[in-house]
Amino acid sequence: MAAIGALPHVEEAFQELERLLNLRRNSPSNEPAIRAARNAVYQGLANAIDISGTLVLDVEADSTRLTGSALHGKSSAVGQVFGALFHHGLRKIRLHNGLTVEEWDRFLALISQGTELQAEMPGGIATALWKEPLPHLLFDFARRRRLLIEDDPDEVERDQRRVARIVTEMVAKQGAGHARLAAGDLTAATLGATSMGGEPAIRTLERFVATLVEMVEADEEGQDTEILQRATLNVAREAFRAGELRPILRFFDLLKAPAEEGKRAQAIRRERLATLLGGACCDPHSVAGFSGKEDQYDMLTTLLQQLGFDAVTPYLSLLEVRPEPGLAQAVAQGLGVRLNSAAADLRTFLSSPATTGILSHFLEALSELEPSPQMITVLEALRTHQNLEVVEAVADLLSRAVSVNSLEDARRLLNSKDSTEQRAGLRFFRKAGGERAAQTLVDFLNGAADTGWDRLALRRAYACLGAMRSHHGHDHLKKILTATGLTGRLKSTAEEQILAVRGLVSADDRFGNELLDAVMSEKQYSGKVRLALTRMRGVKA
Amino acid sequence: MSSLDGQQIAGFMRAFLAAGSEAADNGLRTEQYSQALNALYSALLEVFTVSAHVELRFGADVVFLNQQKLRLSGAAGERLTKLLGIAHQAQWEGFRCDEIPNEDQLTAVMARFARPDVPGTHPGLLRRRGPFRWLEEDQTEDAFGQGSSPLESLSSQALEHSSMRKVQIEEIQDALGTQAGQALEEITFIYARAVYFVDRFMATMEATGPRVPLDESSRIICDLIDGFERDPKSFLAVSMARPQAGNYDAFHQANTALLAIAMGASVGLGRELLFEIGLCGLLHQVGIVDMPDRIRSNRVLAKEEREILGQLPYCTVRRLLQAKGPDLQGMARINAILSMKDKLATKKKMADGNAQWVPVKPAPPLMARILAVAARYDALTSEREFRPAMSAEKTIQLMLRQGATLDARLVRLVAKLKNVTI
Repeated sequence: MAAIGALPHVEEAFQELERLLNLRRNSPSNEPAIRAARNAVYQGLANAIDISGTLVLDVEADSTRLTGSALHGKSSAVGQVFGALFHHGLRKIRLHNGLTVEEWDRFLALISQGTELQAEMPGGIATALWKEPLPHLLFDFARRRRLLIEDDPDEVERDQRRVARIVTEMVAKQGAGHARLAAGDLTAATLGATSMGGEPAIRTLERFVATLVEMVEADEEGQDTEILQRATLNVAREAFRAGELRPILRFFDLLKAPAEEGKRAQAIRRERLATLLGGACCDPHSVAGFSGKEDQYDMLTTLLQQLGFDAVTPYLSLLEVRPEPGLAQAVAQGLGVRLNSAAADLRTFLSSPATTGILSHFLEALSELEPSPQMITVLEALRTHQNLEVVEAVADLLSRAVSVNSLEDARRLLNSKDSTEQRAGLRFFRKAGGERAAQTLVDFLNGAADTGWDRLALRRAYACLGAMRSHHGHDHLKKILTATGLTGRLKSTAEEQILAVRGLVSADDRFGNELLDAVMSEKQYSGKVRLALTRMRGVKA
Repeated sequence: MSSLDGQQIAGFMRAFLAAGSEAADNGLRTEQYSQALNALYSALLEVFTVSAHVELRFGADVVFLNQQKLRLSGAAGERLTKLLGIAHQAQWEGFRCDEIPNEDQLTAVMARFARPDVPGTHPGLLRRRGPFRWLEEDQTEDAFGQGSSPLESLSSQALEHSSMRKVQIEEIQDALGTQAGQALEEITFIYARAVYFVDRFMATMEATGPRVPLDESSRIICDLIDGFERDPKSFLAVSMARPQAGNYDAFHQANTALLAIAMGASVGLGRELLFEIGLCGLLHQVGIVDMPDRIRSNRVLAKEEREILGQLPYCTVRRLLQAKGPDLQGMARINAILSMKDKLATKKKMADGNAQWVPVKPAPPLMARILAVAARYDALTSEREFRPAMSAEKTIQLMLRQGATLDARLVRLVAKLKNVTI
C-alpha cells in the first residue's frame, strides 16, 4: 500500500527526469533549468521514499515499473536510457531511505554515459555501478544463464553445480578453521604504492608504452598490427585524459628510433604507428579531454611541433573550452606556421567570445610567425580590438609582414604614422644590430619630438635600442640618465629617464645593471623613475 | 516474458508447415522452398520479438510452440502429421533456439525434413545449425561436440547427492564457527562459476580463437568481491580448494584471483583496485592456450621450452588486447601481468667486496607483486602431473627465500591468511 501511495511522486519524478534528459540533450547550457529539473526529480523520489521506506523499481524491456505501473514509454528519453540498462542486464533498482542528491546525480551521470562505459570498462555499466559507492542505491542484475553465446544455459547450470560439488568436497577435505583474516600494519603505502594502491597514471602509461614498443620489436610478421594500432590510439586518448603528455613524446621517440639493421618491415610498421599516434593526438575527442596543467604546457608545445596540419582545429577548439593564458601560449607556439594556412579556423577562434581573455597571450606567443596574406586579412580585423594588448600583439604580428630590405628602408619606416610600419622598422634595427644601425636609431630618437610618436611607440624604440647592445646606444641611454647641467641637476626629464631605463632593462648587461642600481639608490632620480624601474624589473622577473 | 498471440502462432505454424512440406516433398533447391523459408524466417523473427527464444517440440500428433500446445486439423493437420512422422523417423524431438539465427542456419534445421536419414549428431549439421539445439540432445554433451572437458571427467567423480553437499557445508560452517552457511554456499557457487567459466572459455579459445570475454569475467570478479565483503572467512575457506591434475589452469587462475583479492583487501585496497587485481588474477594466464602442446603437457621443461614459456605473459597480453582496447585501468592490468616476474632487487657488489641486494627502481606495481605471490603460492601448493603438491609450510619457506622476485612482506601476509606458522 505504501508503494501505491508513493506512485504519484515517482511518476512525477520520472516526468521531471524526462524533462531533464531532454534539457541536457537540447539545451546543455541552460544550467538553471537543468538544476531545477534535477532537484525536482530528486524531490519526487525523496517524497516517495519517505512514504514507502524503500522503492523497488523493476526495469523491464519496455518500461520501468513501480508495483506494476509503467513509469515511462519505450521511445521516450528515459525509456532509451533505462532500455539500455535493461539490455545490460539491470533488472531492479532499490532506492533506500537516506538517498542523497549527490548519490542520485552520480547514478544519473553514470547511466548517461552508458555506451561510453560499455566501450571502455570491462562489464560496462554493471561494473561501473558496482564500483561506485552508492550506499542507498542497490542494483539487481540478471545473471546470464550462459557464459558464451554457444552455450546451452541448462548445460551451463548443471556444469556449474558439478564444479560446486567438487569445490565443496575439496573444501571439506582441507579441514576447516584454517582461514583467517590477516591483521597488522601492512598497507599499500608501506608497500611502496600510492595510498590507493595503484600507480600514478604517468607510470602506468610509460610502462605500457614500453610494452607496446617491445611488442612491435617482437612482431616479426606483423600479426599484432591490429592490436598494436588499437592500443596506440588508446595510449593517446588515456594520456590526454590523464593530462600526461610525456608518455606520448616518449612513444614518438621510441617509434622514431632507428630499427635494427635488416628489419625494414619493422621500420615501416614503426613509422605507421608513429603516424597513427600523430593522428590520435589530433583526435578532437581526445584533445577535448586534455586535463594537463601548467607543468604540461612545454610538452604540449613540443608535441604540437611534431603533429601535422590536422592539429590546428582541435587544439584551437580546446582553447575555447579551456581559455587559459599558459595553454594559449603553448598551443600558439606549438602550432606556429601551420596557422598561416588555417585562416578560417583562426577567424573562428579569434572571434569567439570564449577566447577574448587569452587572445593577447596567444598572439604574443606567435613570435616567430610571419603572417601569410590570408592570416593578415584575419588579423586586420583585430586592429580595433577593445583590448589594447591584443591591438599591440596584432600590430606586432602584422609588422612582420612588412618588407624591409635596408637600413634606409627601416629609417624611412620609422617616420611612418602607421604603428605596424614603425614596428617593422624597429624590428629591422634590432635584427641588424651594429653601431651604424644604433647611431641611426639614436639620431632618429634625438629628433623624436618632431615625429609625433606616441609614448608607447617611444617605449618600443628605446627597448629596441637597448636590446641592440651597442656602444652608441649605451652612450645615449647613459647620457640621459647621467648628464647634468650647471646646477648639478639632471638635464633630462623623468619621462626621458624612464625611457632610458627601459632601454637598459632591455639590454640586461653588466653596464646597464650597474647604472640601474644607481637609479634605485641615488636621490637625484625621482620616485616615479624608481617605481617604473621596479615595475619593469618585476615584469621581467 | 510475454506469450505469443494467436496470430503470431498461426503465422509461424503456417510458414513452418509450408517450408517443412516443401523440403520433404521437393527438396531444398526449389523456388517455392526458398520463398517458404523466407516466410518462415520472418515468422521466426516475429516470435523472437515477443519471446527471447523459439522452442518447437514434436509430439505424437501435436506440436508445442514455446510450450503452447497446438493441434491442427484439416489440410494443415495432414501436413503436420506428415512432418511429425519424418521427425519421428529421424528420432528428432524438436529444436530450441535462444539466439536469433541467420537464414542459413534455419535452412540447416529444415533440411532435416528433406534428409531424415542424416542423424542430428552429424558434424556438418552441428556446425551449420548455429544457435539451434535439438531437444533430444544429451544435455551434458559439450556444445561444440568436442568431447568432454577436463572438468567433465572430474565431475564424474563428484558426489551426486545434493544432501551430501548440504551436510558438508554444515560441517564447514560449524568448524568455521560462523553463521556463514548461506554465504559459503553462495561463494562456492561463484567460485565454481569462475572455475567453470575460465575452463570453458579457454577451451573455446583454443578451438576457435574468440576474444577473452571480459564482461563476464568482470561480473564474476564483482560477485567474488561481494562474497568476500559479506563473509571473508568463507571466502578464504573456498580459496583453499586445490585443483586436481588435469584441470590445473582453470583452478589456478580462479585461486590466484581469490587469494589476490584477499591479500589486497588485507592491505587496505579499495574496491576498484580489488576488482583490477581479481580480474588480473582470473585472466593472468589465458595466453597458455597459445603455447605449444608440448609446453602445456605438464612435465619438466627443457631450456628452450622454458624460453617459450617465458613468452606466456605476452601471449596473455595479446589475448587481452584482442578483447578490448585498454583504458588506463586496462593498461595497469597489462603492466601488472607483465611485471609479475620482474625482479624486485638485484645483487650488486659493494665497495667492500660484499654483494648486497639493491631494490630495483621503479619497483614493479603493487598489483603485480600481489599477483606474483598469489600465483606462486597457488602453483606450488597445487598437485601437478609431474610433481605432488607442496605443503603450505614448505611453500611459504621456499617463497621467503625467493626475495629477488617475491615481496617477502606479502609472502608473510599469505602465511597469516593461511594460518601458516613460519
